[in-house]
Amino acid sequence: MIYAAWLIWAVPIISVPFIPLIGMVSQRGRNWFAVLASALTAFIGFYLAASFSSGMTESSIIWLPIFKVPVQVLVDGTSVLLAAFISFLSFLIVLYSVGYMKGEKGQSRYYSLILLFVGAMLGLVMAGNLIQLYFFWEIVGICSAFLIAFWYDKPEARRAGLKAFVVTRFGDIALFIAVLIVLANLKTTNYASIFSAIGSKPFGTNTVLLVGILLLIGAMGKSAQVPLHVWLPDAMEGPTPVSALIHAATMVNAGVYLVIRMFPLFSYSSTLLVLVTIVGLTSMIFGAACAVVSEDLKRILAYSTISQLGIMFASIGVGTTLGATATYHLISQGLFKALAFLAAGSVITATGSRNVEELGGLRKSMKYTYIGFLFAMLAMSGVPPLIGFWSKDWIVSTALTSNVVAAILIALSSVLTTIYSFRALFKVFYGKSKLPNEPKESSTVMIVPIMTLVVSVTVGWLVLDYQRLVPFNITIDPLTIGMSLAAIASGIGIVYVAFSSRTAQTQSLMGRNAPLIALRKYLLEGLGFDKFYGFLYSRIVLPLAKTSSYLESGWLGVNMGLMLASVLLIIFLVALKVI
Amino acid sequence: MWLLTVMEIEFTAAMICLAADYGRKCYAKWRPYVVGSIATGSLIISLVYLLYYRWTYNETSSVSLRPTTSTFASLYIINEYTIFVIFTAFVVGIAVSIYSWKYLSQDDNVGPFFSLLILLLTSVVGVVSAGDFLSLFLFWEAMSISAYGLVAFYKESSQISLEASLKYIFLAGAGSLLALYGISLVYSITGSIDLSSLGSLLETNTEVGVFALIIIMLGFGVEAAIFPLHTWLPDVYSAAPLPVSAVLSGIVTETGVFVLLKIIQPLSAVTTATNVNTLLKLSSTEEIQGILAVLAILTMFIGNLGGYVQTNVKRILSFSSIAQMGYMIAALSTFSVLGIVAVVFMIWNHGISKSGFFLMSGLNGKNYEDSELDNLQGLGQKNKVVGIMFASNSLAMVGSPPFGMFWAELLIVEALIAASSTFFFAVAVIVVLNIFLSLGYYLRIINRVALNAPDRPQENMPKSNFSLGLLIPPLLLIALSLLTGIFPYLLLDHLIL
Amino acid sequence: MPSDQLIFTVTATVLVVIGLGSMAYSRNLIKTVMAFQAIVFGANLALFSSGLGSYSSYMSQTFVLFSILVGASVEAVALAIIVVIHRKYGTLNPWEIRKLKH
Repeated sequence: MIYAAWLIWAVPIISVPFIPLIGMVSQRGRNWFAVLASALTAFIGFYLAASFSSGMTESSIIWLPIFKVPVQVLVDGTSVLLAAFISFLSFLIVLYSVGYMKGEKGQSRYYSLILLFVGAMLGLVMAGNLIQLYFFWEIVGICSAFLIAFWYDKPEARRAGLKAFVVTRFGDIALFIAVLIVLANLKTTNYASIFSAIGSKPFGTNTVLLVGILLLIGAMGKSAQVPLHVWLPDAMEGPTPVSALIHAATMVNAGVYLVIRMFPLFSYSSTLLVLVTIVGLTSMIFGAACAVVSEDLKRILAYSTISQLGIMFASIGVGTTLGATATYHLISQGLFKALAFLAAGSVITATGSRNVEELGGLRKSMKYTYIGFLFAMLAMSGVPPLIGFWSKDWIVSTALTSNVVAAILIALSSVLTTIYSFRALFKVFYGKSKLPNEPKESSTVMIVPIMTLVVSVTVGWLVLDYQRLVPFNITIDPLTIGMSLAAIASGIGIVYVAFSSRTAQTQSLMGRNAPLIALRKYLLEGLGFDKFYGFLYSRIVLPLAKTSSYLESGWLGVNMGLMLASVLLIIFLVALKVI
Repeated sequence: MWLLTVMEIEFTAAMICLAADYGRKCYAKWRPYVVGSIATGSLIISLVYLLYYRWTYNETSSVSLRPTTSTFASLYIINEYTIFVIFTAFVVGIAVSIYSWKYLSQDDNVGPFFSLLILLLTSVVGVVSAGDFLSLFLFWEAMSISAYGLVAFYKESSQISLEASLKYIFLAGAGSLLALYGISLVYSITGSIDLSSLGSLLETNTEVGVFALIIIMLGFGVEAAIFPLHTWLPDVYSAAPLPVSAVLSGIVTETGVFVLLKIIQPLSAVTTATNVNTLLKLSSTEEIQGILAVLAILTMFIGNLGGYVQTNVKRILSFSSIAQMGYMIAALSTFSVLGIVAVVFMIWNHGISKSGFFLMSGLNGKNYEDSELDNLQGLGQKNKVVGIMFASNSLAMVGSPPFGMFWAELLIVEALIAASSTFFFAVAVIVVLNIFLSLGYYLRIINRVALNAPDRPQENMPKSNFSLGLLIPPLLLIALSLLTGIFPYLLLDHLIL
Repeated sequence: MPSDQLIFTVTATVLVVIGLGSMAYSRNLIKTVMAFQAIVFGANLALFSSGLGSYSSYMSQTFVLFSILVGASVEAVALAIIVVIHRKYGTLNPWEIRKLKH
């Protein structure tokens, strides 16, 4: 079984160089080779999960000699579960890409980047120490940035890809410092040693607090929490399978995984847990609010991802289950969000438009896509007995025992979730079709993954023997069920009233109410975060840059003058006994 | 005495290169190739000899070689750091000389170019293995003079390399004279010119000692681009011919940092540094550490911020070099063994990545204007391999895995954090912020060169030269960087005591 | 330090500073080279005077010999480049030699 733990991330990475080589010979061969590689990975993942019995860590060669940091894999319930989930999802998405990317140029680049990404993500999840995790963390970021900028002819795509790189890099440097502090204090970075050293001398309370905050910033960058969330809505410029794989189901979960993995460190200080909760709740509400007003189908899903990740962070902060609730919600969110993205991709390919205002009435022409999207929205809102219901209500139940305010906020955000998901559903699939011609249903290769995900969303909670892998029972108390059902009902009700009645009063009410219009404009712009970052750049960095380049004036006299000035300065400082 | 053998080989090769330059009419078209292969051959022989020496003798402690037994004999110290830097120098030199085969046309001064290149590398070997100030100074000046000559190679169409060489001569020359002045003060205090006697400098007469050390560091730091004295770097790197920029950025500037390292090594072993009678009431080692750290921070900011407003790739790279030197000096200021190891590893990584980058930016042409971002735009679409090379080298310079610079920057920041004082932790945070800042202009390079499309029609764009001889050296260097990144233990094992 | 060594060292420092200042201020490249030589003299004087103290002067004299040699070579290279610059740019004023675009 240990070989499986190494193979699972070695297989995709090793198959990366073969993709361009095979691609030079045959296009179809390369596509099916990619599918084969991801299928093999998925198989290894399931084998790993099925044969898991007890946690262990295995090390191999020494990677960084000075500190004796080895290449390690950690096999425990969470990592095995996530590995199986990631490999399964990536197999489905590679299969989907065969149909989605048909006819595009640069497919070799696409498949190699996706396989490299999958390998790096699996390496991240199976990593046994922090340095290895950081190594793969950065590679994942690079792959994501270049996949977003895949259609490099579009300036928006280039900008979005590089913006993603910059924002996640900012989080990464915080994580970098945290890892190095740990390494400096403890001389080792594997998880067991870290957890046993918490609280003792070199790793006292202040250090733990500092490391925890830095880790949190790193997680926020990768998982698109406020205020480092600005890259995710723009990342929708990439191809839809990329959005499905990276920005809904796997890469953005890396931050959550980091916090879950380092939970003993976070739970040492209650300040840290409170911070995690605040970050999560803020993003949850912010994301949901922005999703309600968005007009671009993929942006709605992107903001929704931000919101769901916020729920995960909040659940780590309040829960008493060592992050097991977050893991479960991670898997369920990944499943239904990927399903939503795949269905959206199918709609976009068929109709060529991403704007929900332009779409409509696709229920009859794209039946399978409609079923997929319907089930995704049902799961996202938490309708029983789909998997979303189990995960979200488990979170609310555990939150009720420790932090009632958080529980109520999460329940309230379910209302918003229901509103935006059913708004998207109604606008795209119901009503009258506003399109010139009748869209066709997508090819089989794209439908099969969608249907598979529908099935997994519906019965996944039965098949997933979560208890065996992560020893916590899924318990939901009746109050939670009542709250969530009430939230769903009210959400659907609001949407129904707002969209099907279309009375003149509501229209004019919305049209004349100035605060509502301003709020809507703010939310559409993402609450001004982008403007703030742009301000930082143009008002602070650029003037300093101009000053710096003025020093290199190029005149010989000025250069010598600088040298003279520095020598005189040193002489005077010594003579006056300052230095 | 393998060191002397290597030098003899190189000197002979330099003479042969000069001699082979005659008889222009006979084999005019092949001249760059012939002379170049003599040069490259000699470098490869020296590299092989170096590795053979390393593997058979397996010395792990410093070896002093005194060629004669009189007191005036010069002292050479060879330890694992020295061997690592010499290895870097030869690798960069081989790549650059292969590149020059194709770069130099037949009516350039091929013979002097290659012989100066060989002499430069030989002097670098001398500088890094010098054990006392006299041989250090002599080899340092030899290296500088070869560099002045190399920078001044000009074409009839543009003479900016002359003006750059002039500035370089005056600035670096004045710098080494300042260092000489400081050396004289050191001798008057300690009475010996061995580098290992610097330790006693801070234990006795501290005020003049600290002053002397600062002057020496400023003097040698001109070459290493310390803050007030870095102004020559953008002009010289951008105006010099491309192989010369590559070798300057790849090894000569790093040699400046390595000399600072050699000066700091005996200082880091000082245990009883007395307090200097000053306003700040610090001990003398703390003073020097503080000054170095402050200068390093200023250097980093100037380098990283200056890159944002540049439009020419070569100037962007030179500002980036200033910043990377700043990182190295910051790591040196901790006076710890980890800092020294980090700096030496960074010398390797920065050397190969930066010289590879300079070699790549010459694919459009040899003039200064040909490497403007506007002219380089869209290169990635003309030739996919070039686009991938630019993108991966930019990523490497920013310090992302899986390239080697990631481990180097990790070690540098680790050295700063492991110094376990709030001051050095603040310096570490500033270093990491600067690494983030350097993203700005590197991403612009990736965006314009690798991703973007040319914004002018094909006829107005300069004609690019994608010949194999120009592409292979940078490709080799990127591959080495990738290898170092995925398997850092291959090289780091040789750096550990 | 004994007094004669002190005088020599102070003179050397003054020479170095004057040399640097003249290099910064001069409007003729030949004057710049002469100022550079002033720095060379200053450094050599300091080097030589360091032997006047309690340590042997043999080492400093040897050092000075080598240093003079080096200084002469650097000056020769500088003058050679100045000759070519005069041919190409037509002027010897460093404030006018500025073709490198900024």
